[in-house]
Amino acid sequence: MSNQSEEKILTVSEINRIVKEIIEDNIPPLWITGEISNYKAHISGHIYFSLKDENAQISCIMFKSYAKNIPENIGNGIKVRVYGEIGVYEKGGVYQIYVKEIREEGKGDLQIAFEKMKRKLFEEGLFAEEHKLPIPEYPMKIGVITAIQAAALRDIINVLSRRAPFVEIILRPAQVQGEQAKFDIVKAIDELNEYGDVDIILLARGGGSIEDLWAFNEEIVARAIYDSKIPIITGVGHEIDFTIADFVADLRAPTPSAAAEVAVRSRQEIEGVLLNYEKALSRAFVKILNDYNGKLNIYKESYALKKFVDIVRQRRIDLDRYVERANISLLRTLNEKVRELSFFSKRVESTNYKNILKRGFVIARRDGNIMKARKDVNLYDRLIFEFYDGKIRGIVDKKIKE
Amino acid sequence: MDRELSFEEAIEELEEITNKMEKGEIPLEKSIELYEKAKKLIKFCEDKLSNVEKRIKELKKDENGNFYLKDIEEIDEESD
Repeated sequence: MSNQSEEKILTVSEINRIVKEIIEDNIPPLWITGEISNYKAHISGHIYFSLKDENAQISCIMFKSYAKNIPENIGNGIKVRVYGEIGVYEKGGVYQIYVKEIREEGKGDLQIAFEKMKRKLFEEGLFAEEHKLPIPEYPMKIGVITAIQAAALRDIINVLSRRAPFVEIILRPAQVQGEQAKFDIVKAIDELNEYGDVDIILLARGGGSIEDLWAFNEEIVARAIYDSKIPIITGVGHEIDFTIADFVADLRAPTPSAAAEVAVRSRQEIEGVLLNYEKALSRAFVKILNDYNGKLNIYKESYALKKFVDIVRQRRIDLDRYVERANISLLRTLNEKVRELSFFSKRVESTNYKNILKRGFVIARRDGNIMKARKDVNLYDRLIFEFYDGKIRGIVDKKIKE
Repeated sequence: MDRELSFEEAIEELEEITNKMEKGEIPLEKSIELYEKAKKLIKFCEDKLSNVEKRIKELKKDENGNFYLKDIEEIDEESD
């Protein structure tokens, strides 16, 4: 044990500062439930009250900037849930809640109802993966259920027009907020199913409070989604909002735009798919053709084909013989013709030259040979001269110079 | 009434034909037939993709409870 006089002795300010640091550094902002008492709306706009339960109470302060949005009927005895952080007021040595939001506890029952419904439908199997319908890969007709004048619809149309301008959008407008919303949503789902000619349904709503989105937590809506024969993609609220509809849906997207985004493939993507098929088909077709070629070669080697070829070859030889025989007879005929021709031509010749002799020409022969020139003839040659009407004989007595 | 082939069905058929062709073992005539069929399917899909006229319709019911589609020209620029 150390000497008591040497221990550090704190001032009130110091201990309050330490307490403040310990509390404020270690307790994050949080929700606290309780009943309001000592309610005072100060002229400054700040609100002061205590939050209590059966056994204890804690001071609360809500600054003007936050106090604007408090529920209307706030006052003593009202059960509320407050959101804020614990702060220590050093001068007073007290701690209190710096409140940023107050919700009436009655409304918080929605959260309880949500949890209860979720558990019930989960146990019934409505969220089970095996009950989810497959999402079509290439939907061309997109059913949309949302409010007709909502930003959600414009977001969906924008995304679809950009990514997949070839799709058809079939809107079934529905109230997505208020007492009648759940009935209208159910009717819309039923009608699109009855109509039948859509590939997928987008069920969408923009962001809002749990009350705003409540229709999507209703049991009849959950059952209509479950019973739909057409796959349903939900896009309700913002990323952080989960509704019962999201759990039952065949696919949950965080927002309406995201629902449209996951529903369709872009044009480029699909064109890529088609191109791949085209390539695969061409490849397969070429391969089939090549295989056939290969098979043909095998057939060429086969016995049956060889036999066939043999038969052809045999026929061919026979044919050659026919041709040969044909040729021989042809040749014979030809030779005969040639002979005939030369015979006739000689006759033609012999009849013709006599006509020439009649015109005053004479043929001179020596020993039967025709003398065609002066130089062929010698002095004292004995020549036969043929006239057209007969022959005479004579002897050459002089070679006359020209 | 003869229902028009859906895009999804066309792709499924393409997939089927491609598988058959890739497996081979089909008569040559059949493969030519399949190849022609596949080319037609691809053309069908491409035609669908290039059909980009904006089509936004509202599903309505007439007094007899029959469905009809009404063209929607513009969506009001009003936020929820």
